Amino acid sequence: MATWLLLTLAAAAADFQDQDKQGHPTRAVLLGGSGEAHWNAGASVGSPWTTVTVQRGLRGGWTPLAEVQAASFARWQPAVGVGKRWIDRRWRLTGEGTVGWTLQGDPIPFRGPAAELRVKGGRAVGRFAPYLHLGMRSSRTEDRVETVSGDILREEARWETTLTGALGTGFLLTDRVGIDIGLDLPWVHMPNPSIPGMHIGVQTGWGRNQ
Amino acid sequence: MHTHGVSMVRTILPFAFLIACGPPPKGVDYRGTRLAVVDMHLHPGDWQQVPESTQGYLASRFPFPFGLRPEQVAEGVLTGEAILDQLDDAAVSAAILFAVYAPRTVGVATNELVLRERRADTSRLWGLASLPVDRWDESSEAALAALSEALDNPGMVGIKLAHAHMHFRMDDPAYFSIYDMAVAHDAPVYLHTGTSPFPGTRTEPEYTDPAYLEAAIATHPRVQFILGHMGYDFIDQRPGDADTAIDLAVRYDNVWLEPSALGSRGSDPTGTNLPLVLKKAKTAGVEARLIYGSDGPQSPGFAADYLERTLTALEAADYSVEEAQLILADNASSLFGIPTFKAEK
Ligand SMILES: [Zn+2]
Repeated sequence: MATWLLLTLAAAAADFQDQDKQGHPTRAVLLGGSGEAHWNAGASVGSPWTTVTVQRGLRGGWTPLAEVQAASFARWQPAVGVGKRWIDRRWRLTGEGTVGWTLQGDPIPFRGPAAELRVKGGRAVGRFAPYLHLGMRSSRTEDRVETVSGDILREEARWETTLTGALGTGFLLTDRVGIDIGLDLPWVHMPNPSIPGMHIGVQTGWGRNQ
Repeated sequence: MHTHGVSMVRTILPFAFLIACGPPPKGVDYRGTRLAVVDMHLHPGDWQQVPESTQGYLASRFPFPFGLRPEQVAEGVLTGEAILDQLDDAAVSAAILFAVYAPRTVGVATNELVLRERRADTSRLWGLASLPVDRWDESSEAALAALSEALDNPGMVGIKLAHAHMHFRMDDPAYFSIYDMAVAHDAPVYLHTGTSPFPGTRTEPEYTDPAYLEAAIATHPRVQFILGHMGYDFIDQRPGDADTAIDLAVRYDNVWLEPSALGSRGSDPTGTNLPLVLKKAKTAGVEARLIYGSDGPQSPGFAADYLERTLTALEAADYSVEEAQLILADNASSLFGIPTFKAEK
């Protein structure tokens, strides 16, 4: 029984190290960079972050993407961008850049354009895909200083720079579906502390054998 | 970056602790001795009573992501029960809760609310009463009568005033009837001194500089005046009028100094100002006239964090164990006539 289990696991591990499994949706979303002509989508729910991502692989490891991130459903960060796989062997390293918006309501209103740069790295370990994301995000808003009667005294630009990060592992369930669990470590309004978050996610893909 | 990492860990720790086990034994270690702690400055409240601009200010100081939905956090830290949790977490034995009547700035926490929240544990919580001072010409009589009635309750052990938040001058004799009331009830008076970070507060010296309190102090020798924040300048984050506050304590026996909030992560980012003012007080010889308060709960973990920062600053300013015990607990017990607390092993 134990031998059978070990053999099955070993076979599965070998199978998921296979080159053409590198394009698995879980690896594409968590380690970055979809296989050429693959569509991938990922969604995660957690506290405080909930995210949705869609991306498509092009030639040469280029991967356009669209995403929405929400914190406590009170801070919204929609964005479009592109990723590029730099290294893709046992280890994968991908760079991503996005432009979008940061939208936050009362009592700390923030509305303005945002840009983010990040790297995603990790490797395949059998069916697992441990990953680390590190990034930096900058958003700009206009602060309004109002008098008691509501007249606008002045508007001044304010920049918010945020370090972003996530650490976790994916798990490949089937050829087209995987899941992940991870910690989110965004540093939202430095130097105020930020409490780390947690999420669980699911990834899927299609069009991989075109 | 290193300090950021540390602050993050410190912010998480209280939560981890709450999940992991029960409250630690009351008391703190100071230079190898266990000392009891009384926090004389905590705010119970009602988030809905806080003006919008101040809600924004407070929310911006909560750790992310709590500032996004601050009403949930506020309800979780502002009740008597929640304050007891914060005290347990900080190993603090007892605390004094402040009533506040500053509808245009920091909001309102009525005397009734303080007495109600105090019921969470009347052996650990007491209150300072306050009064509205708006339209003083017409309403002073009724306001003073209500204050007197509040002070008749044994749970109310003093009076809280904040000229900058309540918009009345420190040297205006029209309001000295409040100190007469303090004499009648043998009630110490806590006064906010220094500028205030809250939107809508008065920033002129007549409302913030403790020098303007001298007339009241000199003419009311039987009233114990507690100079809150020691004249700290919360706008420019520097000691501000601390020297004036210390000088008043040197010259008047009825003046006490309370270094709350000025050493917090947000108000003293470099961590140098709290040790500096404590050193100044010790050099001036008024180290036994200090009294500990945090100005929490602010956000979860603040009461514990502020206590830790204060202990670090006391040690940096070379306070003895005996001095620390007076500051951390015994001065509050004698000043407010509440029981003396002992540290648990
Ligand atoms: Zn206060």
